[in-house]
Amino acid sequence: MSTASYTVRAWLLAADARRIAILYLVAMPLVGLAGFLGAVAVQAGILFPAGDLLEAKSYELLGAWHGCGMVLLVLLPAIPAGLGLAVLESRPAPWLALAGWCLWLVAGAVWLAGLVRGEPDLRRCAILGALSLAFTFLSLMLAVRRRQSCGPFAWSIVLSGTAWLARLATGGLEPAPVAPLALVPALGVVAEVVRDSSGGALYGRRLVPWLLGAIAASTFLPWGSRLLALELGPVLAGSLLLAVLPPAALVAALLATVLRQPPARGPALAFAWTSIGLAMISGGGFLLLASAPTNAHLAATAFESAHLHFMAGVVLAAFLAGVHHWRDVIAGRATPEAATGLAALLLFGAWNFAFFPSFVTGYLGRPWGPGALADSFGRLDTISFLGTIGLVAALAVAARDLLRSLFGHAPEPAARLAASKQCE
Amino acid sequence: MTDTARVDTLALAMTLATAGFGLLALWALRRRRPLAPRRLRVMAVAWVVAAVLVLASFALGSYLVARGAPHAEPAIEIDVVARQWMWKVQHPEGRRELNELHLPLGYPVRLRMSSEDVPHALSIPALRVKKFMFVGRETALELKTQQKGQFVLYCAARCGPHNRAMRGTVVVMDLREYLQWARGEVPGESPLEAGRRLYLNLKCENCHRPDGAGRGPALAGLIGRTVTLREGTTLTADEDYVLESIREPDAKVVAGYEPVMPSFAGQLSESQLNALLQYLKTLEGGPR
Ligand code: HEC
Repeated sequence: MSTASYTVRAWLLAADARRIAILYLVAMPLVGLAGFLGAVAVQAGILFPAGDLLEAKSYELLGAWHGCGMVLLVLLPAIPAGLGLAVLESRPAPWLALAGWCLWLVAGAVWLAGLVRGEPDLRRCAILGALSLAFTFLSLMLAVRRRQSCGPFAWSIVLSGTAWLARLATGGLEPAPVAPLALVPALGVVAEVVRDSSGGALYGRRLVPWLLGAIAASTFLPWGSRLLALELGPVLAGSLLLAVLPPAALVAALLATVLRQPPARGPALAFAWTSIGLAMISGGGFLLLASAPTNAHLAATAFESAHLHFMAGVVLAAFLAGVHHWRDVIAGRATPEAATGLAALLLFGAWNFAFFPSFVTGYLGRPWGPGALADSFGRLDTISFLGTIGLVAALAVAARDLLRSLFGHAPEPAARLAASKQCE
Repeated sequence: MTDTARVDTLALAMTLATAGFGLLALWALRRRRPLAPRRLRVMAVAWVVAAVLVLASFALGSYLVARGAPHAEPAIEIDVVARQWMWKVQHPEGRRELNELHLPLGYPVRLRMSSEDVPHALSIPALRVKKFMFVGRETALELKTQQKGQFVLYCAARCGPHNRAMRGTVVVMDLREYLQWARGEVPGESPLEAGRRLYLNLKCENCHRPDGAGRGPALAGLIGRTVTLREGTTLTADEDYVLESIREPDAKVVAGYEPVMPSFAGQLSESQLNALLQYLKTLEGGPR
């Protein structure tokens, strides 16, 4: 590391996993911000329909643009690329990861250029993003094998990577169906954070990889709006409901872990709980989407969109938990811990304000997507808009906390620099 | 319980169960002292068992609600055809409408649906129903309204750029008003023809099969027949009895049958009742 040069060229062609991770960590929030602003424009159109900021067709496009970029360029790679490369990969020249980064840059450029030109090429963006993620996963899976890394995070990466390669082989990159796979690495991070805060061993730890694997496998079940065209027979309906069991059991294991040994509290754990809380709400939404009579009513409505956004919240909170947890590894030196869990609490609250109303409007019949701008739900729309603003505040506090601790200096020597555990 | 209420109850149960697990999780997080290993194991197992039980009961509930939805009852059949970006509706009486769907209150309806171009999906949120529509393949949606009024209907499929224009209104009216509305002007129709039309459209024949094998007795040659009632008494069927049987079927229930016939009291006008009577009189033959 000491010989690494810090020129622009060296950074852009960084063949050092930690640097690539940092590049992602800088670039992904920017892409996320662009996607967020697009969504705010759509939402403002709902709130002030009279103003008619854009044409109907533009809303449609903006909605699709937001979904494609947010899922394929932010939600899915956030944890594998932003955290995985820093924590699990250590080769001096991880070419696969570098290829993934270059593809991601191109995909991001295609995505942003699409917005500027007004006719996004979402197919190309999705394919490039998917390939980029495949390279990242391959790099990580090889690293896990080589270093014999162990623990929920390493498992979750291997399992979701396998699922992702299978997904690429079977095709289909619509954002909504592929998004749930991002839950696997997220839950991996959460489990690892809980484990490390609570004495270093998970309750029922032999079961945890199986549960993660079951979650990864269940993302291949068709559900939600795709069931409109399918008959939700008893077998499919049953297996969809069964898909709730592995995450429920995983949450049980995590709760038992902290009940066995009360955890050392800190911002990482606070975000982990935020993540679990959002996951439980999202899981409740999933129940309604997975049962035939309610599915017939709710699929393809704002309800499904709310469910998806709660899943996104799970990933975001897990990501922030991971950044706090592995901040020393990312910064490459000992760093101080952020003082409070305030940001995590704010995030939980704001996320609920911003997205819970969509569960209700969806139940009342608002279709998914900007297609339903004509209908206003008055107070619910206002709450949701205020929630979005609250979200900005929560993320600002979270960013401040993170930057403070990443750039601060810890008084004590680096104790947690060992990135990932070896298998026993 | 109505279908809408059933779906709502199921949704509510799922929401409450989720909230229950959330509260349990909160309790676990707030606890500061470690839990003894035995109690811990009990807790973890109880959580998973509870989750399994809750899911199983939801599976059962979903199955029951879903099975309850299709009505084994007779239904007014309405054709709905979707195309980019409009709804075309034709009622059994022959009346057509565009982007509006008139439905009779409380009377079972079967929508026979298809598409002329791309897949569409008819969604009526207030009735908690939605169904896909395809080209060259008929799908059916069976429903029974519970409330008069106007409701939104829209296309829930990604059917193209003007998807959001593809919305319409469901107008729920009394059966009698509906029938009047649906009949529109049928010039020069005799009472007999009107009776026949009502008899077919109201699906009387689904229960009153000519061979007597339906859920109700065969109606051919009813007037003048000796009818045995549930209580064991007998009477000779005359016009008043027939009219009463249609208005208030439960007043005199025929022996050997369940009182399942819907009441048409207040649903049919005097002239419609009379038309039905005229038509019933013309039915010939019958097993008894
Ligand atoms: C859901 C099934 C059902 C439908 C629909 C139905 N009925 Fe009935 N109906 C019955 C049954 C069962 C009975 C016998 C029990 C009773 O008297 O209530 C009956 C009895 C009758 C009787 C008396 C028959 C007798 O032998 O005494 C008449 C008349 C009659 N229905 C006319 C009609 C007409 C006209 C319609 C359509 C407007 C109609 N029903 C629709 C089930 C039905």
